[in-house]
Amino acid sequence: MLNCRQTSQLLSGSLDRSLTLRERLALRIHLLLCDACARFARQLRFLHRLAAELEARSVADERVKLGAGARERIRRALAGEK
Amino acid sequence: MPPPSPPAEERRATDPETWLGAYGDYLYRYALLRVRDEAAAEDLVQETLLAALKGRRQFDGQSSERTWLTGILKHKILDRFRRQYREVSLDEAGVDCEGEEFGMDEFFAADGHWAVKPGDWADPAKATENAHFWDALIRCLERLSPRQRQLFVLRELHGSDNEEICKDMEITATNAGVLLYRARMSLRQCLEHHWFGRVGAAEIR
Repeated sequence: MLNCRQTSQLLSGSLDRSLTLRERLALRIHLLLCDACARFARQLRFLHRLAAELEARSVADERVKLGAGARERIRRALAGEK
Repeated sequence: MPPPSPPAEERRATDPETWLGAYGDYLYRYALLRVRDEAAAEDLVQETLLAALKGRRQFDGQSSERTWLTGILKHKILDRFRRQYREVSLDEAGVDCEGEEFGMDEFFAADGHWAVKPGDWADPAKATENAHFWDALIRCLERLSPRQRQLFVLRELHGSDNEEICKDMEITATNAGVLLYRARMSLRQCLEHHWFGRVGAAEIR
């Protein structure tokens, strides 16, 4: 029988690799019996799904801009290479 | 390797002088999200544009110019991570990969039960509608140890799979699994404390 720590480790692993049949069964049984881990599993999946939107929002974030100093430095570096 | 055939005129990359204006902010934001260090993000943009300038003839027009530049930046970020991974202090390395095994941690009691059970996040999808939630998420990312953050970025943002991560970072699958696990546990706890806790919940309502 898995304990909660082992369950959390398997749940994280399931986001990166396919679990074995044995692991999947053990996980399913634990999640049926343990509300805390079932909740954790939902939260973990939620975090995993956030990445794409975090990316989309970040690259469109108007508050974040390449500073004037850096821009000038890069412009000169590029001009020097040509 | 045979030299690539010269690309058709319309497929050639545009004048490099326009890149900075057209893609500078985009590339900077892309880099900053991943490295969380403004000076480093600026350097990465510079390295990327210089490399693009040198490799301009390899641009095949199959993708957009921005996608092409982003691909170069992605590799530059990976190089940086690989270098940094080896440079982190011994103290931190000890915390991150003691024996490369899942060791004891603050999240669970000795018997394997939750030290503090995960809280009720109510409707987390609702949180994502609040712009402050995303700032909180980024602050939580910044709190991760450098190695945990690197692995998290490679897996969740770069979209690398386990095999690529192990090859690129020269670490074992177990080590990668442990770092990703700790990154996720810490992020979850941080969001629970700083967002889904009482204050955050009140803010959402």
